[in-house]
Parts: sequence; structure tokens; C-alpha cells
Amino acid sequence: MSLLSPWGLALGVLSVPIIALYFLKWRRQRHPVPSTFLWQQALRSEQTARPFDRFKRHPLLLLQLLLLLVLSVALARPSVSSELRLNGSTIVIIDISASMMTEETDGTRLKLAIDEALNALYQLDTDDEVMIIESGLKTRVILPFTQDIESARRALRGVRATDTPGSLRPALQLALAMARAKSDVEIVLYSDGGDESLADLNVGQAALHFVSIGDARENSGIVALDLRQVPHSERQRELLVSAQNSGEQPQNASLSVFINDSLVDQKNTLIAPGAVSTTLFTLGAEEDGVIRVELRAEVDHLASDNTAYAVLKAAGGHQILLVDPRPLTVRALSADPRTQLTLSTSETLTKAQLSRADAVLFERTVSPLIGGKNYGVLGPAAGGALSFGAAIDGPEVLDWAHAHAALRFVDWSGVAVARSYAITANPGLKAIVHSNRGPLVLAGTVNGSRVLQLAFDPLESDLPMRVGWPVFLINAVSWLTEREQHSGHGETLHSGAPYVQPLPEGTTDLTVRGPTGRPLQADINDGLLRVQDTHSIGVYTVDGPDIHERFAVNLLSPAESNIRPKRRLSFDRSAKAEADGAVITYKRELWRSFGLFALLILLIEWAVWTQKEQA
Amino acid sequence: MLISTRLMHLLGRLSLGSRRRAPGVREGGHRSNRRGRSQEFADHRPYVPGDDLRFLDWHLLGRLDSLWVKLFEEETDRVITLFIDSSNSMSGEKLEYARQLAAAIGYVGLNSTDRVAVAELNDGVKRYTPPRRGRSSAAKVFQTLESIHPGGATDLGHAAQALPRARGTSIGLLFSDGYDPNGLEPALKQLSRRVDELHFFHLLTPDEVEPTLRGDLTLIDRETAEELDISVSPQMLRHYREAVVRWFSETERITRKLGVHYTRISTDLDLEHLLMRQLRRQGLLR
Repeated sequence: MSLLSPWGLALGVLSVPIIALYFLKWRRQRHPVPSTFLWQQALRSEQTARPFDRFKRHPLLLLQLLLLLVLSVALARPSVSSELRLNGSTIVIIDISASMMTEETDGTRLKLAIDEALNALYQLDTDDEVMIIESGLKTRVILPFTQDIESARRALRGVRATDTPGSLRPALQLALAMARAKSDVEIVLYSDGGDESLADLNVGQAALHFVSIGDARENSGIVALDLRQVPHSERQRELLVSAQNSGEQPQNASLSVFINDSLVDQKNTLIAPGAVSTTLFTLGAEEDGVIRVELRAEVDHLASDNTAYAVLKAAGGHQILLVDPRPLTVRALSADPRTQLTLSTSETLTKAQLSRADAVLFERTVSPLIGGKNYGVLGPAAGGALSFGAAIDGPEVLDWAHAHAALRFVDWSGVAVARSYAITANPGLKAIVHSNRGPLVLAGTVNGSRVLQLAFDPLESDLPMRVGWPVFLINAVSWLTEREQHSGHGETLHSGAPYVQPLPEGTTDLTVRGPTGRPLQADINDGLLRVQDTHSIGVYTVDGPDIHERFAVNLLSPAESNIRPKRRLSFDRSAKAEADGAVITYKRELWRSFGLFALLILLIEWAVWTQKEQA
Repeated sequence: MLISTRLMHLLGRLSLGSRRRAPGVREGGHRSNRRGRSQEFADHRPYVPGDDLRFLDWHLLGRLDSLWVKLFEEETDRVITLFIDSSNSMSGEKLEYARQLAAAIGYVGLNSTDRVAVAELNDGVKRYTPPRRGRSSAAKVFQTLESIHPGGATDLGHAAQALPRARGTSIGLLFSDGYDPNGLEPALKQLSRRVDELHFFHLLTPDEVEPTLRGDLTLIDRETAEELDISVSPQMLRHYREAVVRWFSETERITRKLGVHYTRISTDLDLEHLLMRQLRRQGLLR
């Protein structure tokens, strides 16, 4: 037997005052006798014979001391290891996080967990009930309480692991809440233990049993992936790959980089136990494609963390039509090798020119021929989406939308603007540069076209003198032409994270496919696409009339790559259970039995006291 | 009344027997080693088998048609001393029993021309009443006995040292519970020197032999006022009974050694039964 709360034994110190009070004189009756001569002899005889006999003469004292002992032990929460016997109501929690796909000798951990759970179900009688809960990134009750054990078995066999990280806490909290609502509920968790601390989880008196699954400890996995453009180079990308060795032995690992399934680079690395090794690859940026990174280690038991993906987008050029251009604008845009400029005037502008352009920049007036083309207006020109009113002298820049694509890497603080103009009509453009007297730069969508508008003449400011001027123009052009200039790659998510993508106005029909090509559910609402089912690693595609996107989903979880199984789970500082293979032993608490025994002692004490009083 | 009229009537036909050939100063009604006799007629008593027929009073036989023996002065030279332990430990039924038993035996003595003295003892001689003779002295003796009240500690040996030696043949009867802190042997030894024949009547209440006490108690000694904390349990009672047995054995050994006649009496024993059967069987009364 062991004690889960040994501090409870401290109650035993009360035995000292109990004994002291018991032998105090004030409890004795005074009785005159002719002589104490014979009593003295008897007392001497007794004390000589057995020194502890005085305690035997006090059955009430002994009973009280025994009661104190029993209560102290009960408070210390005695427990014995017992083999798990399932009966009554059972909640089975199956861990479906990525680490459960670790390959063991007899199959994946998930398979082993399901087999264990199926074996346990055989202990249930026909009037017992069982609930099945999946514990992964999210918790899901796949089968509520049912007495149909066969359904439970089918549900278990249908459990599939995911490539997502998991958390046991929500599933345990759900199960514990169920246990509090019902009586005599056994909760059995089949898992490799996860990586989170559950020490603060209040399990109360719930019968919670943990079955540890798996033995494998060696694994290396990709835990970080970052693709970025080489600074000052439009034609190169840098790929950083971090690999973690969560085993106990050093691992020689090779990292292979594929673009569109063609090997482009490979590097070897030695990863120390418990260490993370980061490798840098330099890639070209001429083509769109899918980057796949493969990790091969000497000993590896989990496959889902050996591959990571990224989507590569070629840094291609765009056609910009500049109407009524100013030299400073032409000079700035000419610095961007991706931008091909066509110059025109308001008088000579044609529809053909407009149609060939990816976006149009107006320096003076906005042509009515613009139609649905994305355009920018570099000044408070007439004919555009905005109407302007009185001039505003000396507005001071207060703030700007740093995250807006048109404003990246442009520092607007201190930009001196001599004069701006009040906006009298705005169809919905949002200010992205603010002054103390009103907006200075606005951007948004008007009638389906992207529009960027300045509320001041750049020549009435020192903006063209600044380094940020060409950057601003290139950004503006990129935004107008919907190009990701500075990243050069598509979105990358952690497995399980939702994918959210703004959609072109009016988009209602599109198809989202997973890595295997399986169509996925896509939620379109408020101009946003949301995809929740990103539980598998790989490249996902979004196809619609006006949108063609790809995004990558990777595990990249140091916690899941650490496949070392836990043998014990600690809750509230008192470990309840451990497992040894197929035999489930757990600590059965005995405090209730001790409590009943204490009650019995109380009854006996009352009977003895009554008998003494009557005598 | 210490003893009932009926008991007195029964006792009237008895006399004290002596188990020992005691050399008396004068010839008495019991066997004597001395020759010669006093001619002074003192009294009659009923004939008992064994009496010398020469002293049979034929005149009374003719007159009363019953046998009577003449008693002369020398035949009444025996002194019966009643030693009453009146210490505090004797208070209650033990002292009452002692009074009654002493009165009964004293009456037998007075009725058979013995002289009866009463000595009240505790840690000294509290009171000594000189020997009296004859049935007419019975009331005085009873009065003396009734006026005995408990008090003081016990030191019978010291008390005995202060007693006078009786003139002539003497029989001493000690009525005590035996709780002498100095032990019984010194007391009995001293008393033995004062009398020719000593009888020790060891008086105890049933509760002293088989206590009915239970639980956690503080016992208070009536004589010394000493307190003793005790927890009376079956085991403790067993030890007490063993102590009682040891005490009785030791007392018997001492009395045997000193030639003292020992009679242990429980105060719940019927007095008439004690007198008419047990003591007659023992030979003290006949």
C-alpha cells in the first residue's frame, strides 16, 4: 500500500494530548477505603508484570487511539495497486495527435492504443456503458455513452490519427466533467503522454487511468521552416530548415530540398541528442512551384515530421501604364526590374493601352476610360473615386498602416506635406496614412477595382526626396497588381490551423483540395475563405474563377517530434496511474474503507462506554 | 442492643474453653495444674460432662432435679480481655461486628464467672476497662463496648506494650482487620506476652476480600489519608485477590508461629452461626 498524501499522518500527533488527558487526575473518582495496603501490593504486582498493561486496562483509550490512527491513515490517502477492472460507465480517450503515428514494433501507437482499448471493452458487461473521445488538436466525442459495445468497437476502429499537435487537457477536462455528472465513471486515457504539464488539472476523486502507449524514443523531425527572399535580390530565396533530434543518440541526418519534385539541393548534418540543427539553402526564384524538404535520419520512428512543404511563387513582372507621368515617378518605377512602364497622356490614352496594363497610375486626372482596371492616383486629381475640397495647409503625419502592402518598408514619420486636400466624397476607400488634418493616402476597392489615392501632391511634400518614395511606388504597383513582392512564397500553416484567404469580390464558387486531391469543405463568408480541415501535411490548392492559390501545411512541432512516451501522468501532485504494457495497474484509493472502519470504531467505543457507565 | 435476648439465652449455656493448659494463679473452673482449692463458695454452674463429680451439688439435684457444679473463688480467676481495634480502618460494619462478637464472648465469660476486661486499641491504648465479674456486669461491659468509636491510626504493637499483664490466667481476644502498617507480627507478639492464650479474630468486609470497585479511581486511605490512583480492571482485581491470598497466608504463618489462634471472619457471616457452630467447633466456646 502507498500513501498519496502522507501529510495526513500528521493527524497522529493528536494522540499525545489524548493520552495525556486520559490519564489526568481530574478524570478519576475519589473513593475512601479502609486501607490502601492491599491495593498498593496489587498495583506493584501489575506494574512489575507488564508495564504497558495500563493501556490494556483502558479500552476506550485504545479505541480512541485506534480511531485517530485510522483517520490519520485515511487522510494520507492510502492506495494499493490494482489491476484495472472496467465496469459501470467508462470513458475511453484516444490520443490522435501526430506522435501517435510513431511506428512501434507491432504497428503505430494509434493501432496499439486502439487494440488496448478494444481489449478493455471485453471486460464490460451488457449493462455497462462506454463513451469514446478523440483527443487531438481538438476534442471530439465520437461516441456518446452507449451500452452498444459493438458500436464502441466500430467507433474505435474508425479512429484515425492526424498530423496535428495535440492537447490532452481539453479531453481530460471533458471526461472529468462527465465523471462528476455521473457516478462510478472510469476514465481510461490511451496516449503516449503528450508534452504538456497537467499538474494543475484537478481530477478530484475521479477514477482516472492512464495507459501509456509506445516504447520508441529515437526520432528526428523538421521543427521549423522559413522561406524568405534574399535581401536586395529578386532572383534568390533562402530556405531555413531546423531539424530536432529528440532521441538519446546523435543522428546523422540528410536534408533534401525538392522543387516540383526535382532535387535541387541536399545537405548532411549531425544532430546531437536533444539538439536542433539549422541548415540554410539558397534557391532560385524564377519559377512557381512546391518546395518539399525531406529529412532522413539513421533512426527515425515518426514519418510525419520528416517532410515539410512551402509554396514558391516566381517573382514575375507587371505592366504598368503611367498616364501624365512626372519624371520623378518614371525614375522611381524604372528602378524595379519587374515593372515594365508604358507612358501615355490623358489626351492620347486608349482602351488598348488600358487593357494591356496590369494597373494604371494617374498623375493628373483619372481617365473615364479606366473601367474596372486597378489604378492609383498620385495626387488629388479629378475624375477619380474621391472628390476633394478645400486645401489643408501643413498637415502632420500621425500614423500609417504599417502592415498594408503598399506601405511596407516606407517610413512616413517626418514626411513634410505642405498641403493636402480635404475629401468631400469617399466611396469606401480606407485611409492608410493619417495626418492631424485628415487622410493623406487612401486605398481600397471601388466597384471591384483596387484603387490607391493620394490626397496631396507629392511635389508639395518632401516624399519624392526620401528613400521610401520609390519603395512606396513599387509597393503600390505590387498591391495594385496583387503581387507578393517581398516574400515570394505562398502561405504556410501549422497543421490544424485554419486557412483564411480574402476572396475577390463576388467569388462564391471555388474548390479546395487537400494534399491527396480530396475536396475539402470551404466556408465562404464576408469575402473570406476559411478552410478548417488542415489536419494533413502537404500542399493544398484553392481554385476558383478569380483565384488560384496554394498553401502548405506542416507539422513543425518540437513537442510532437519528441516521441518519448510518458509512463506516469501527474495530476494535483498525486500520480494516479501507471501502466506496464497490456496490464493496467492503477492505484485504488482506500480512504473510504478506512473511513468506514473509523465509523465502526466509533460505534464500538460508544458500546464500550455505555457498558462501563451501566457497570 | 449489642446482642439479642435470644442470643444471650443461647450463650448462657456456654463457657469459654481453653485449648492450652495455662498455669493460673488460683484454681479456676477449668483444668488447672495446681492442687488445692479455695473453700470460698462462689457460684454454681450447670454440669458439663467431664466435671469433677466431687463438686456436684447434690442438694440442687434433689431440689431442682438437674445437675449443677459448685464453683469456688479460685475457679473464677481467669481474665478474658477483649482487645478491640478501634482505628479508622475498622469504622463501619467491621467495628460493629467486633462489638457484637466481643459482647457475645464477653457475656459467655461473665456468665461462667470469668472476669472480662475491655481494651480499646488503635495506635495506643485508647481506653482500658478493668476486669469485671458476673452476669450483673454484662450491662457495663456492653456499655463499654458500645461507646467504642473509630478513630486514629493502627499500631497495635505499640498499644499492647502499654497494656498491663493480667493477674492469673488470661485469655486475650483481638478483634481487628489486621491493617497495621508495622505488620501484625509485632502486635501479636506483644499481645501474646500479655495473655496466656491469644485469639485473633481477623475481621474483613466482603468488599475487602472481593472488591466491587471498577474504573479509574483515586483511593483514599481512611487512616493515613494517602491517595492512590488506580485503574481497576479485571487484571488489577486478579492482582488484588492474589495480594489478599498472600496476606492471609502470611497471617496464618505468623499466628501459627506465635501460637495464636486465628479465625478469619467475613462480616457478612451470621453472628449466631459463628458463635454456636464455628466457635464451638473450634472449641473456644463450649
